[in-house]
Amino acid sequence: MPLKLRPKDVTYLKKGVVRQNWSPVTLYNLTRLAKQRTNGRTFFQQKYAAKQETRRYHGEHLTARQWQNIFRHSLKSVVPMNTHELASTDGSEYGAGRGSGLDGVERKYIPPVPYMNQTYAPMERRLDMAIFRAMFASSALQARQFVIHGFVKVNGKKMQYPQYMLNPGDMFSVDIEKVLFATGAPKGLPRSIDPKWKAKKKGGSASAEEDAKEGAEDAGSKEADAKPAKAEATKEDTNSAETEAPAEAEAEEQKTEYNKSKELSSGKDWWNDPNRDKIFDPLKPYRTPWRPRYYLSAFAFIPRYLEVNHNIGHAVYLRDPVARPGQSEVPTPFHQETMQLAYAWWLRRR
Amino acid sequence: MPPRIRLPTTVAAPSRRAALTSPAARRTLSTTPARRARESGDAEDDNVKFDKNKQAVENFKSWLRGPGENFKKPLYYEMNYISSYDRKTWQRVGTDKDRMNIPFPLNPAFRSHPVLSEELKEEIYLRIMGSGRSVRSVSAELGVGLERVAAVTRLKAVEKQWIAEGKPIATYLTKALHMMLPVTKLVAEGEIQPFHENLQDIPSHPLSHRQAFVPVSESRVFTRADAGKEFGLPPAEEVVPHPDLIELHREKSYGLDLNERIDKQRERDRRAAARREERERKAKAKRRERGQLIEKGRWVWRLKEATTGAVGHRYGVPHEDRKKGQIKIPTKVL
Repeated sequence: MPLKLRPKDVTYLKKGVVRQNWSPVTLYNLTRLAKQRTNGRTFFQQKYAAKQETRRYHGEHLTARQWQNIFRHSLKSVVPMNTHELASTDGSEYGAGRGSGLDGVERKYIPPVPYMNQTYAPMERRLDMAIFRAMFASSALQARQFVIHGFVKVNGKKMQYPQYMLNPGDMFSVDIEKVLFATGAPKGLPRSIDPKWKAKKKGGSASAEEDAKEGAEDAGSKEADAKPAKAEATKEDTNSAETEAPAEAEAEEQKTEYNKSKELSSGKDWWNDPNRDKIFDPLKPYRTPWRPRYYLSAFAFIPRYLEVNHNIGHAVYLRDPVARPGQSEVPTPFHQETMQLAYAWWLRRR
Repeated sequence: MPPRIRLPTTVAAPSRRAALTSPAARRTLSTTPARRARESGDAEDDNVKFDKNKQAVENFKSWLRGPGENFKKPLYYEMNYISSYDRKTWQRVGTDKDRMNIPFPLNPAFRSHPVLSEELKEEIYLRIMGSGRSVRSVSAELGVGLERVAAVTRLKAVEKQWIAEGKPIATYLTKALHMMLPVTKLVAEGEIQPFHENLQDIPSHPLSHRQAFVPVSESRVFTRADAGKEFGLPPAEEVVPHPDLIELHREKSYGLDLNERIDKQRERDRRAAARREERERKAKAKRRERGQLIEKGRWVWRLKEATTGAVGHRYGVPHEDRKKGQIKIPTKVL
């Protein structure tokens, strides 16, 4: 599948912008992302650059005023307690001796709490951001569109405001067809009726020119046929659907087979799932039969503050994202020092 | 003018000095077609202006054809993040789970936390809705947080309803995603279920954020409870989500045998249930006192006895909701 780059994408590539989406451009820029350069810059310049860089990822579609209104200088954290320790001691050993514990007692190293990574925590409360984090949409902007177009419900009621701030315990849902559209591969024809693939296959025998011609003709006739002939396609493609994944070469095919066997053995066989329609349905906005889009695995994670059920496109916002020693629940690609500078920027007039 | 940010690129922009090096050396170093063309030493190529856009796109495409291939499809058995690869050679780095679960290489503080497997979710639902167990006990048994247990049950209930209604559910999507995510599995019967998350997290309270200096005599035993009192908070063993677990642990260390411990826990459960019932009863009574409730379509009316002249200070005053800047986005949905 040839990759189409929009003029915007070229700019993002040139500037190394990391945005909230699952595109290969973002993936490539993620590999190049580096810590904020601070030497030879004034503190103001450092803060400005950090703010600029982080805001391109966190709520790019929000104006500065919209973000500043929800920004909070207080950062939430939790203290992980140990049941065994709470039961066996009364805590007096921490204040023994001269008030700071006895000398020579070995203590477990507790990593510092990355508070600065919590800078954009209020952003994660927004409905559109939560939808993106629950992997119901392929980008924050698409999530916003789903909300505005009325495909999203909060606690069973339609919610059309992407800026709705979720409360702990809120259940939000996205139309499952939209979720499949966002996570699935883009729409395309199955191999058996794809003129390009047919032309490629014939390439061995006939000349390239003829192939192109035939391919073009095929495309015209087949595309015209595709819509009304769903039932027909169903019959024809039950077999071909099995080999539908667009592998470019024989080696690729073998690799797929190898992966498939591994997948079968691990018990996560989505391919042969009884609920997965094996037919080509031209009316669906995504590739049918459904398969996950490319480059998804590099972006696949569900933050801890959400509980998601992908079977039905529902999720529950459990609580606000928190920091704990060594860990932060706000998904951000930036270095802690960059976040610290951004926090200092947003703290400015407060 | 705002300061300009320049991000480092994987391939440095060709400098003027590059033109001075020997052609043979250049040929071996060049990777992308454009650079090869530019560096091939032809006279006409020297006049071609260096196009940053073209360069960026070419670098991207060559990366996508090379290391980018690793990310095109999932690995089928484990996570496939950028951090799982060495960023120079693009070879996988070991199988250490603690290094593999970092989606963003610059931010090791954010980790991809496991999700519950479908079997574990089903088990939680069955224990709560089937066996009628409390959320608290199921949470303690399976090592899943209180809120999460409640959420899983709610979501499963919706799913069952969909199945009953004959709506199609996307189990294949869940399976496909669980292939890419870390998953907490349900262990076989008889084995101990590992903790999905730490159950005893205490939210750090703003009252405890100040630094306190309390003069205490050296002979005094200053406990956790004393520290809590200093900040005006209850002791940690009371505020944790599962204080019962601490009690159980203590009883075990006192040497009580299993049956005794079970009896004590049952007694505690009974008392908790009684407290909850009492609270619900009071809330219900309070609701009844507030007046008659009539729900009709979009509206809910609460009818109360009132006397003219004493209906409140805003009687007859128009609402401000048409004024500029009035926020009309709901802040909660019930």
